[in-house]
Amino acid sequence: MKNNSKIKTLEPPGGILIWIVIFVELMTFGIALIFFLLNGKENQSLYHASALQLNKSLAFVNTIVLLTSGYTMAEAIRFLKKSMMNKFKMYTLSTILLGVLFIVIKFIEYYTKFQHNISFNSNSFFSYYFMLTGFHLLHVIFGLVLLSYFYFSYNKKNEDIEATAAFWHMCDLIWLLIFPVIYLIF
Amino acid sequence: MKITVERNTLILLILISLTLLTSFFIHSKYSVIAILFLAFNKINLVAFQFMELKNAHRIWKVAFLLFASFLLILLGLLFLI
Repeated sequence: MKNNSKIKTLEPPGGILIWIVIFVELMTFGIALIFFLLNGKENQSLYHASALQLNKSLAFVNTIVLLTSGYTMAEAIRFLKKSMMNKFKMYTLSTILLGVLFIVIKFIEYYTKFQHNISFNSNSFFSYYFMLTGFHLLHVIFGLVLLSYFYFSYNKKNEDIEATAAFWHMCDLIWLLIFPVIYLIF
Repeated sequence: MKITVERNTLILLILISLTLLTSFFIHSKYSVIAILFLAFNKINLVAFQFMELKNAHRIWKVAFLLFASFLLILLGLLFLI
């Protein structure tokens, strides 16, 4: 019994497994961003010119959308813990809608790039841009699938939902790394 | 009338303010430090407040802080040196 309680206090919110995933994901994106910067140092003028072609306004809006979705997710978990299921569902739905808005804005951003004949193969800056933002987008879509499952299903096991919330916040964390490095510093 | 603001709402307002503040630091070599410092603060606010890392065991808090610091310092140094 004593051992059990000791193990429980070591367990982070959402469970150890999801936090290992979070660390691995942050490390993976971090390493990719390190290579992006190293490449950028060698081709500074190209990276500067390419960065100027990015739509920073849309990226700022998307940052605020994603941060707000993190807030609604945190509120959903707060109400889940109080067993206030109506409010939990309302905030979860808000998170899903904000996630969808993020995807729509991201597709608008991609569409305008393709209209200007900018693609994955244009140069190394855009290869990194599409790869990093694309993988992040896949994480957001996966997070939305998980959130939708818990919104519509009868499975309301707190531990599972908290792990899903941690995954959703991880998308926030990854974006907070990608946004300054890709959009702002070159 | 007493107005109370929920902690999470306050954190969101701070996060949005920091994001807006970032826009003032674009396009100068040393602004990279400010941009990455703001990103570091936002990452920690999301992790500690929204993800409730503040309630986790000290090991997780220290591990996350060290990891985030190392990564953002490394990114900053790579750009500046």
